[in-house]
Amino acid sequence: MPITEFLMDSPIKIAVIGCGAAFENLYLKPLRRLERRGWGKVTVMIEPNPQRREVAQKKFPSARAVADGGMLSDLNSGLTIITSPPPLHLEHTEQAMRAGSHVLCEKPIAHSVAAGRAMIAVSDKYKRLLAIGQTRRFYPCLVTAKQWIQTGRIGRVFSYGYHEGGAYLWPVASDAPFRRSKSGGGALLDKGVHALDFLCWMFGGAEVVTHHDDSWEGGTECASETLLDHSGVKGRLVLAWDQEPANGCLIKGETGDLWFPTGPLHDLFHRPKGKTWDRVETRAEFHADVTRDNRKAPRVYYDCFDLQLIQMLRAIRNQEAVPVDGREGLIPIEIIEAAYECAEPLHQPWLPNAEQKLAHDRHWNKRAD
Amino acid sequence: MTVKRIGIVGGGGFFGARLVEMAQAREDVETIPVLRSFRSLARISKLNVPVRRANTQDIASLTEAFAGCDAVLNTTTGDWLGAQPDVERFLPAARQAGVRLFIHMSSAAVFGSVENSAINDDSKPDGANWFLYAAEKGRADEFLRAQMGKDSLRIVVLRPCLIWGPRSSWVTRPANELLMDRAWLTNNGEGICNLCHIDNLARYVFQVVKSTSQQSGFYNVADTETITWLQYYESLAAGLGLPLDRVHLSPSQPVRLSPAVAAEWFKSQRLGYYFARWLINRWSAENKSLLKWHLPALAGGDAAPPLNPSDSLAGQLPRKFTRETWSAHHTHRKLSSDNFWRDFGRPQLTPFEESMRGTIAWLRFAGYADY
Repeated sequence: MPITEFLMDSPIKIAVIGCGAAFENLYLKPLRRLERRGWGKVTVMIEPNPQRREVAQKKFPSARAVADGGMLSDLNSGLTIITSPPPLHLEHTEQAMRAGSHVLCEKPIAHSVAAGRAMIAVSDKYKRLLAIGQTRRFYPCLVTAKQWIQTGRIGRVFSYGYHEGGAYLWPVASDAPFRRSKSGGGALLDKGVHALDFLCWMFGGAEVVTHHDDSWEGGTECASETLLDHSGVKGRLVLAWDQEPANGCLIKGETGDLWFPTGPLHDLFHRPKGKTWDRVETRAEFHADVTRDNRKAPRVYYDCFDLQLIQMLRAIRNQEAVPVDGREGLIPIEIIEAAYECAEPLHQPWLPNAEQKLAHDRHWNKRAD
Repeated sequence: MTVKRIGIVGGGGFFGARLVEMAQAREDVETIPVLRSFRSLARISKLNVPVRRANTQDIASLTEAFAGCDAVLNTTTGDWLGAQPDVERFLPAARQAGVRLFIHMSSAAVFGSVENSAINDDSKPDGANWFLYAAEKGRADEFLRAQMGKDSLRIVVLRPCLIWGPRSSWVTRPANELLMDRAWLTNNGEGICNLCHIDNLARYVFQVVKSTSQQSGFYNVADTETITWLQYYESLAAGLGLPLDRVHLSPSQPVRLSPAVAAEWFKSQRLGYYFARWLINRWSAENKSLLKWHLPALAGGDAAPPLNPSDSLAGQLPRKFTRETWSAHHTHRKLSSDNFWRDFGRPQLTPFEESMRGTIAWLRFAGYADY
């Protein structure tokens, strides 16, 4: 019997800090499936809001649902999933790691680069694993696109254009995401954390060339345009909350182009130079079992959360790699912070002149003037 | 200068958000978005404007939200079956809050087909309209008709047809069709495309609010120009740098049964609509995505990349028309805004060509011309 199987006698104890929308919509079902298969056991849930705590308690009746983190003490070598608001990630990571727990923190790693770096330092100090939830890394289309780029199947890559936008559907409980003083940013922060993670995973780290957005003072941007340079690969990133751009990513290479739409997990197309588009068969399988080498491809977005949790448990038990570590998780935040540093008013020629002037004069980043 | 304060129910929606944005550049109006949920703030978050939250099922909550407003504008469209019940709550709330003017955003769709030359602004909606959205809008209109003149609250119902411009689905949908060479116009593209640019619609609203007219009533509102569907699609194609033969014409023919037509029929039945809403509200996002995984047709079919400008799939793709698009392509009358101009004066409307230039600029920003 493999040693890993022997060690599976007792499921890994799991704590959850923050039982809000991310927990309810993204982690609740995968955690219940983990419990059913005996791989993990939710033992503590920490949530200050009594209504949300009650909902969580109903879903995991044998776990202790509490308002503060004093109950983390028995989680030595267990896992803490942090789904609290980003400004609290550092405090909660420190609390969990001090108790001996490894951490899977929902993206973004933190609300600032400084806080993210401090989280990495905490992880180094306590020698605990810090992973950041970036589930798009499990998308077969992105895995295949990365393989195509790395193996030179479209030659040298020159540029890409990435557009993502649409109605904001996340069931937020306050206006915090929409006020700059509370959230620190808008569409770029919200959608860019996902997009920049896999774009830098594909093309390497990036420098911000320019960043333009439409936010007024005190507000958060509904639309932004960021130009990036990944050591020679030029990128244009358009993200929006108030419109539906041509959602997808067009990658232009020396011998051909790749295109994938935003959202679907399996759609990838290739256009050799001078020819028409063909569908590419996408392949990517991940561990679907904590002990055995049983692999599968995700079907839908929600499957990625199961696969992410399984890989996290394998990292804890078998010393395998976590899906995305703290240092990688910090990269999108570094780029976003650099973009906000040089933010300028977005050129919006579709607006009447008086409105264009107003949008320029009231732009949130006065340094632009 | 008297500043008029407008409470906008649905101020975080497609039209409401644009109205709030345009009002920032005016000194004669102040807008207060009235929102049901925090997430509705996303579309106006850039402006950092104060908003009021209200439970739109509760008259007391709405009354509080409307306090201090000179006018209330209803732009909600979310739940089709909620059109009449919504105004049944909004109206008493506006009265209790002392509001003097209630503007309701209806739709020219309430007439069904506008082929009958006897149809005018005051015509009754088509009670037997097959399109549930239009039928329910019509019921709301008739409720408001019965309320007009009952007291000092003026009620103005505006009926635009196709609201277009930056961010509009009447722009992104044709743009996608053109990029993928799936743009088919039945009736040879000769039907009238009754457009109302989103900025022009906002100007109609501001005109009502600023007017000294004491009129209540129903008003069709539209852009000034008469544009055919072919002209509209060709303007978009030219702006995107696509060859004009990307617009494919088909003579008038009956709507053929297809999955899209069947889905449209199902959703247009009251029971079908209830079922769809139930499914949307009760099923988890995970279950819905798994359903789409197993039944890709529900997800709108396979995604496809835009074609090279030089490529064409003409003839290879089926000509699909839903009943809604078929009806729109067979419109032969231009909606007139004469009655509005007579009663409230003519607002400064942006001409079609200039509006199209702005729309193309937005499409280019949004990546539709990258291919």
